[in-house]
Amino acid sequence: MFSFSKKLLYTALSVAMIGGISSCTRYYENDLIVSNDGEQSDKYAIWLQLGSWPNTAQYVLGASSLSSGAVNLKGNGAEVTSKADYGIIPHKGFYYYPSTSATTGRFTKFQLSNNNLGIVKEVPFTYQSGISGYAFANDTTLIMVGTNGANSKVLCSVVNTNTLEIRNQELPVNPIPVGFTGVKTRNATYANGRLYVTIAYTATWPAPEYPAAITAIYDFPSLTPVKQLEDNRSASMGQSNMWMQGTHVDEKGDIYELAQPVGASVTLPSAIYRIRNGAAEYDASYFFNLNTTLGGAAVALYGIGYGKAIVKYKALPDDGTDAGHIFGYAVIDLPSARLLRKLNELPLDKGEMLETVTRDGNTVYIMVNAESEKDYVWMYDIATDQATPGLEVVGGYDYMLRVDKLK
Amino acid sequence: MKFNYFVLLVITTLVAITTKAQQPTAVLSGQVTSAAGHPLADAAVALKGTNNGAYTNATGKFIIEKVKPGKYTLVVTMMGYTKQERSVTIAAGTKATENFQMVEESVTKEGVTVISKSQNRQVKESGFAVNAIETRLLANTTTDMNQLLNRTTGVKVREQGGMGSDFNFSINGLSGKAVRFFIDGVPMEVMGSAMSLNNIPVNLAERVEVYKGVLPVTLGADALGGAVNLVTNQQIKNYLDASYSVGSFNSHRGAITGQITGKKTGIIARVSGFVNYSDNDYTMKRMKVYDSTEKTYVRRDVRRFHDQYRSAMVQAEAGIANKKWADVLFIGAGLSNTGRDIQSGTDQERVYGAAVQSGSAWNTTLRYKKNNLFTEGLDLNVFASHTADKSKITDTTEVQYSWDGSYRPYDQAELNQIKSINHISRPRNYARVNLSYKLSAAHSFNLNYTFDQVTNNTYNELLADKDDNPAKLGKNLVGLAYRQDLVDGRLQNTFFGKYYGLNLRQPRSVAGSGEITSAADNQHYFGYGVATRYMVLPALGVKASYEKAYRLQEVGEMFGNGIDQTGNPDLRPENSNNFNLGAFYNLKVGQHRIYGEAGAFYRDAVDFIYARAYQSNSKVSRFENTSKVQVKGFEAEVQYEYGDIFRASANASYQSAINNTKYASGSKTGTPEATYKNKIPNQPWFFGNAAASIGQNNLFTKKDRLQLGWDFQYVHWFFLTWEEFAAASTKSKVPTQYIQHLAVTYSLQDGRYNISAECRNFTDQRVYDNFSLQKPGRAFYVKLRYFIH
Repeated sequence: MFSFSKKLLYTALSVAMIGGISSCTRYYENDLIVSNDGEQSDKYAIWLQLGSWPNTAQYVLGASSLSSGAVNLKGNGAEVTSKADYGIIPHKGFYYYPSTSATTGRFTKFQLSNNNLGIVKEVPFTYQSGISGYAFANDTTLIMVGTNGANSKVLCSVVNTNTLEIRNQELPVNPIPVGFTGVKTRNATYANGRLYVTIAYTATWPAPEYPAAITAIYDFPSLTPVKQLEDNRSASMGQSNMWMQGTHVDEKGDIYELAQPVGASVTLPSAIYRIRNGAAEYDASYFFNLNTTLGGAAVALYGIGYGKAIVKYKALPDDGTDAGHIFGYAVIDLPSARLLRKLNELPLDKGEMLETVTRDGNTVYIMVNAESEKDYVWMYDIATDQATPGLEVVGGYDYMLRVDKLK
Repeated sequence: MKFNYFVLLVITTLVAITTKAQQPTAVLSGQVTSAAGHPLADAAVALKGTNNGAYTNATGKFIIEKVKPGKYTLVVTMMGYTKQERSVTIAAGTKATENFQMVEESVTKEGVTVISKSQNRQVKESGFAVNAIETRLLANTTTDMNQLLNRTTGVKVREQGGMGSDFNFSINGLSGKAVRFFIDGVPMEVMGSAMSLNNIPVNLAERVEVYKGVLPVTLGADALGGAVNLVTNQQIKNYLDASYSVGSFNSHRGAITGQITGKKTGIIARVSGFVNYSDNDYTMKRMKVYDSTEKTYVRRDVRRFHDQYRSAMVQAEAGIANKKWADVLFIGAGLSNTGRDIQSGTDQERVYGAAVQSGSAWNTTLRYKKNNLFTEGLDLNVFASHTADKSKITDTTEVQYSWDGSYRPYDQAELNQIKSINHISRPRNYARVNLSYKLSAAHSFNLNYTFDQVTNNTYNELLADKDDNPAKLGKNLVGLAYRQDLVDGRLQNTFFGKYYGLNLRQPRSVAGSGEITSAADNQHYFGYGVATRYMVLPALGVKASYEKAYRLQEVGEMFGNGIDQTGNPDLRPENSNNFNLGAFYNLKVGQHRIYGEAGAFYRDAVDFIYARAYQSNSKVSRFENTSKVQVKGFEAEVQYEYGDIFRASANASYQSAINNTKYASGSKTGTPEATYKNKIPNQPWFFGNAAASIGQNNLFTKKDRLQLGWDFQYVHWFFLTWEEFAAASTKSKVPTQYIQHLAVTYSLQDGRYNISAECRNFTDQRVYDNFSLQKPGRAFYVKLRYFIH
């Protein structure tokens, strides 16, 4: 029979086991709330990605200057994996993140300071998950455009950046042409009370897109359609993702839009179109063929003031992957549709879908991921037309995702 | 062609062996038993000075044929027993019988004895790096195979949630497609996709073997990192093991396995099956939900609300045994069915409330075994099957759920951009032929051939009614092993070569240019390896093994899917040089038994296949050989037993996986990647387990037993991303886990009736295998089990 001593032993063992280990583990919860004051933000930020799939990770690194010195990620910078990604909108001391890639259904306002990407405010946001372009109507009004998952509707969200109140509205576009399967938005541009949305009609890959450069124009804030422009000398107007620039509004209020045909079968050139201030037509006298000008297709357009822009272009033939160091930068004059010069002092850059150019006053910062040489944020002085290396990014990072002026 | 040379070599070898064996002689047979009269299996019986000999079977019997007339010394050896020698005279054309009664090695002579070798121990003491786990110790608990294996050295199972959740199984740091799963040497996929380690109750297998890095040829598969083989009860005698458990989260598990032999007909019928059900509605602690009154996100404890899981399987076979023309002939059939709600994505930031997955499969099987085919020592083993396996993922709701169960309209479906009812159908034909030949006690050969063909049909019911480009994958794998048992069985060497033939077909493929073409490809690869073991002392052995291992390309990886993945005809298989070193020690003094083993391993794996963006401005990807990984590590385990009263064990595993990819994909020169030579993130690298049980027989009545068991798992915290980079305060970590389980079992009539109560995770830890994916907290279960054998 079960003796008392045995009972005691079993009971003691059980108690000892249960009481054995206390729970003192710390768990990750990314709720570092910061105050709503853009002044605390870092001045500049660099986004980097390391590692081969599946162990890729993204980081953001704050910097007080991009003109000299060196930075690296060793024990420095904020890890953003599972929190945000480089599909993010910088504006006056804050980042706005619609979780387009993460599809968490949240819209978050962050601030970067002291290696911390802290949450300022966060609201549910499920109206759209495929945002491709954004524009600011003013300092507190952010407009985001995208398409629904089935690529059948164009969606627009207008955000009050202080309260994060969001107005959502579908934007009407011309019907999808016969033989094509969907519509995709590209860039959004705001100028003088109007919203210009570049769009493309898509077919099942690898069939090319509908061969036209299209811009849909809406009155803002009513978002009523004004007109949809179409020109067949090029195609795929604007950029397919919100982390590249493809349009520019100059000091005169004229809009310049880069069309850059994509897809294996496309033969049309990349080109810049112009819409004059207040007009609802492409400027028929203006068509800047960048393939012939640069010797390779342009992939991004960054206005830098004074009627000028930086274009990123394919300086070497494309091998079909995004891994090659084939991208060069050139300075162009927009009104006269002229190449000013190629920035040949910069090494060739890697990665097409990256936000690698930002401007602060008369200095344009161009972050270049070189194959063999050191990686620098290069400084292009608009006034003197000189390009010199600035901040060195040390470490040989796989992808240099974006460089931002935050305030 | 390389293959033809290989086949020629194999045939020549077999012919040579067979020819040599065909010499007319006498037959010597007998039985080996213990002092108590129990038959001893796998004792070595040899004619001294010759290459002739045999091992005893499960009933202790042996037979040595083709013995030339003459005087011999017959030697019987078995670990833990004193060697016996006996002089025998064999006359031509006679059938001699010699029986042996073995005596355990004397305690007084050497102070120690070792226990007799079970099959489990034989596997453990082979040259291969292998965990061999007997399931009987946990047969009265609610444990499933994953939970069982997760407690062993070098293995880490990372589950995404509760019962039936997705999991990642890693062996010595290699996981995913690098690890293959078998039941009795046959790939588990043959049973249908419902059959998975996360739902097979522990009662269905007698033991489990985990091969690390180096695989015997009998497991015919391209396993880069290792394999798990569940071994079911293969005994001839009748038995029944039936159990049912109920517990927290409305969880139910039932399992049955048994065998019955018709007394008149001699027909044997076997059945095994299980049912599993759970609501998996465990509490998720401190989840982010939106408070519409406060207009802010807050943290609250919520219950999972869309994670119901059910699965059922039954496999039956009938046949005969011990006929002249067949030792075993069985035909069988199986059915399985599974269904599950999908609650979250790869992290708990993504919540689903409507998407579901379901599947069903059936199979037919044929099993044939004939020992001593044509000649003594030549054993044939054949298995063939056809499987129909269908599954469906339904994702048709355009809403987005929150953890509080609320939802909002969304502009896309839950899992995918567009609504889908995706059907996946994978008919599979599989055959395995194994020929083993024991030339003598010292030399044996094994030739294994597997044919594995699967067609992959996938389509979205809302867009199509069939797959326009079903991919067909055929594998022809041949393995040949030669095993030596030298120095009185103390030295065991296995040399092996493997041929991997891969045949890929897809009626339609999309090339980078947009052209649509038919695609087919054949690939051939050769692997090889060696496993060796030496018994330094009767209780102490050392072992080493090596294999050049492969994980072959899949059809989708080679040809793309025609939708958003393009083909890559230059894709190579993932391959690795795998090395293992180990030692084991087994000591028995009176009632005390100590077993210890330790091992070190090295893996140098290259050409890992991952999808990469193909043309950067489109959403098209291509599979490429992108990365290289080097893994080094060591592991150790100790076990202590005091009779059947007390048992304790502890183990620890350490592995250091280093990124060996020097240049970013697409570059062969330039600046090395920042992460080159860095520790691979998001992988447990130090973990251990401990268990103890104490039991008492004849407590309340005769032949009863009360047993208390405790189990503890430890996983050291690890970084989600690369260790060196970013400020420490911002880095995401998977925290250290201390998980403890308790179980109490009361058995009657020598284990025929059993009732168990179990508390899992009794300290109610927040348990994570993966970053931000909580597993269940404290849970209670009761299990009833009837076992007769």
